[in-house]
Amino acid sequence: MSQTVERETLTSLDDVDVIVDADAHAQASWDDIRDHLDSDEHRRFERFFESSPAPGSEMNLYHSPTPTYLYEDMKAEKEAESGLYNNARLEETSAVTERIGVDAGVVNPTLILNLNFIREAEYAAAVMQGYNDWLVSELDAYDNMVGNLVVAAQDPHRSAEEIDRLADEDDIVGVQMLGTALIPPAGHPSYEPIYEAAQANDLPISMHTSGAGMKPFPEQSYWAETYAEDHVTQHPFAHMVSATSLLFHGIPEQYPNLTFVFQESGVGYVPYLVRRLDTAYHEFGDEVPALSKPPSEYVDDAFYWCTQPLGHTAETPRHLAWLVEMVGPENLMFAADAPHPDFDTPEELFDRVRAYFSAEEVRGMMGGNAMEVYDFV
Amino acid sequence: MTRRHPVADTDEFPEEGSRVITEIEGQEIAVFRYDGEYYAVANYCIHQAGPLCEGPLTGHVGTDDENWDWVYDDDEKYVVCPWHGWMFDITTGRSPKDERYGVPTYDVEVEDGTVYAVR
Repeated sequence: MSQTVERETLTSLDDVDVIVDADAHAQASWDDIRDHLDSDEHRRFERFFESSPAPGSEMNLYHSPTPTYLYEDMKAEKEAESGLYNNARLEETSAVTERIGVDAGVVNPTLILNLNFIREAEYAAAVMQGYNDWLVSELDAYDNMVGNLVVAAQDPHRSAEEIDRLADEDDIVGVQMLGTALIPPAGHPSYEPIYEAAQANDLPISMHTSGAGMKPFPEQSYWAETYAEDHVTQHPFAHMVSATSLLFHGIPEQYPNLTFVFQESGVGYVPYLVRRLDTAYHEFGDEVPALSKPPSEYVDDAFYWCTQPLGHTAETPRHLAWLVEMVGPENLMFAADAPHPDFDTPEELFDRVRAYFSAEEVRGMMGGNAMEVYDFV
Repeated sequence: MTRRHPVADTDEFPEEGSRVITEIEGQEIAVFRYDGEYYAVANYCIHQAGPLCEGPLTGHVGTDDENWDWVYDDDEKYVVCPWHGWMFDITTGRSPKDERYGVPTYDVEVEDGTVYAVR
């Protein structure tokens, strides 16, 4: 007796119940952060913000070679205060999310993406607390938004306390350990309190990079003459350092229930990275004693990759499907990056993959995987 | 049908870690002396076909169970391919790094001072 198995495939985004932007953004202003500072603990920084001619500039050890967002929306801002950026608060993110047909977003910061550049641990802890309390109060007002609380890598113990303090908030679904300028790199044992607290509270670790990416390394980065030059290389290279460090220092072996989400770098670098990790694992066997199986297996179990930015996939649509196959659809999360001007619409991913993968896999990529990892409905 | 092939006299294995590489029916095979026993392994790395058994025998770095410190296990039963560093346990042929990988091993018999590989 012959049997025909027909795989269900999707033809329309209407058949996807929930689309999630696994990397949405909301910009807290310095006033927002100051207004939410715990004045008992951080009174010094309230005054600090008031007296600084340019709050936040203190963290910019890194300066972009050219202005970072030369987009039409920004130009409009000067004339009509309608710029996408300076007003890119949660209200705008929520509206953009809805407009492009995305049902829910996982919110990450904008202004403080370079938090790791702050040298003083006390200052970093103040920004962490002020931002997180702002985030919690803002998220409360929007049904389609949840968020990652931010930790300050400068002070892993205070960061662990911050995770414990906010983990039970309804709208907090993960921990944002910023991937840019993370020194020492993510696998260093000093971060164990953060991983321990995240695992104990069932929160995934998200890592978001910025255009400053790998500024502290290598020296070549300082010679990028434009923001464009930085933007191409910084995001994926920073993630490659973080993922390599996490794996080769055995963090997924030590914290087997912890998951990691890598944001803002597309997925093209992933097959290259994973194959290279496996090769090094065999070639330098004695230098990777903390893993009991090849890095790719930990990646399959615990690493998730946000798709944005996908690039101009219409040129050769099938190549994106091949790429998704190499990375593994169950490890992908659609991300729009709303409301930033390099955002992807859901169609940019859906149209390229719907015919190549099962309905279940496509629904997972578009939102199901994010809902499972960030555990929200 | 398998049969046994003489490889070398036992006095050609004067110490722990001694080895003899020979060719049996077109296949290069190494016999190692390890912990008083003899082990035969194909001189062929499944990674990129390198001469596996011409590499050094070493121990293996792992981590201790309590605080993840690196610990060197000096049980020198791993042959490391001289081409790309892939390692295999000469007593089992298995990779200590990845359970999917292994190289062929052969039974060894010793009789009247002669070491035989069975193939």
